[in-house]
Amino acid sequence: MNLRDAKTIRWWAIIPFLLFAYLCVILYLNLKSDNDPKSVPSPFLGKSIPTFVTTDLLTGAAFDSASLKGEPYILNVWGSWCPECAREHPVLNQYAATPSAIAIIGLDHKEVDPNDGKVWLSRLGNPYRFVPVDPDGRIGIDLGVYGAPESYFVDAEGIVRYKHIGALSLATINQKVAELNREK
Amino acid sequence: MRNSADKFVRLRFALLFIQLFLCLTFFASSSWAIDPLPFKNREEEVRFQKLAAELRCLQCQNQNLADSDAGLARDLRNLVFEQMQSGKSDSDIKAFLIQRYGDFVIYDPPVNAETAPLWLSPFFAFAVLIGALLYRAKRSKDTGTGSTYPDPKPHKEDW
Repeated sequence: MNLRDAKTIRWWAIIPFLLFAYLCVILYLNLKSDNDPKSVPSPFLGKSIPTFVTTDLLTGAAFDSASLKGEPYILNVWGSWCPECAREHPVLNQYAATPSAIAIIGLDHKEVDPNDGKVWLSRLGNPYRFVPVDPDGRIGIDLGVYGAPESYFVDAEGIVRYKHIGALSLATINQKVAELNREK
Repeated sequence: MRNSADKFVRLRFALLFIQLFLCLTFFASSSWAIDPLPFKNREEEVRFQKLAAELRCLQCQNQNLADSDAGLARDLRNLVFEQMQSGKSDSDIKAFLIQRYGDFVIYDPPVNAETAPLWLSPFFAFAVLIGALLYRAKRSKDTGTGSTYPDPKPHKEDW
């Protein structure tokens, strides 16, 4: 190092340090945010939810999802084979018990034996207004389900406003339902 | 004499190694989905395997449909097979899945507003680099020093 060079400040010499700092900030923010890389945004956001026709697990009656239009609801995809659904279930029960709760529809997804679903609901409680069945998973594919539990927040027009991947918390339900009601 | 025997042993080892390598790579290339799907002919099977390799399994995100053992991947493989049987084209089947699962289901993302930064950033970085090089070349030509690096000649004041 000589004196003549030391006097000239090469501004570009700090670029690698700036890049490094930038990377640190970006990586740190992503680490700290609850941005889950496994959660893939649904292509149905802001669009009509696909309708489906099937039967109800508990009553055996025909179920047509088009009949739900006119009120907001939560479509919750579950299965008795799904441990995370069992973890989520008390939250759904708790929400369904609140007086202002909107309807929760529980799609029983890929149940091997329909009896498993019935036993599961009688054991853990039933927060659902309807329990349409999807034994072969075709309804799930039409909805873009890739793992239970998943929940669609649908407004009165039948438009998907939010999709949640994984277990819901009561805070999330309340917040997203409030947003549904505001948009009405 | 001993030297040539050594050479021979080494050659045999080298050949053995090459044979082993070929065997391993041969098996590696055929990691295909193994469902017993009733393909009509070899051509159909190849088409199916190619398509399944281009689709992502969303349950286990770093695997394609052909590789994955997840339940969803199996269901989607059956669906792809059924749609092939009913005469749908590859792009029809892809469009069907994109409509339900979004662009994430295919490994080759389309160019749109959301993915534009992904596609354009390499060109942007390249342009910046070229710009910087041109700038430096111009400056060194103007000053006539030929380089902006410190003079490589040792100076008296050097440590």
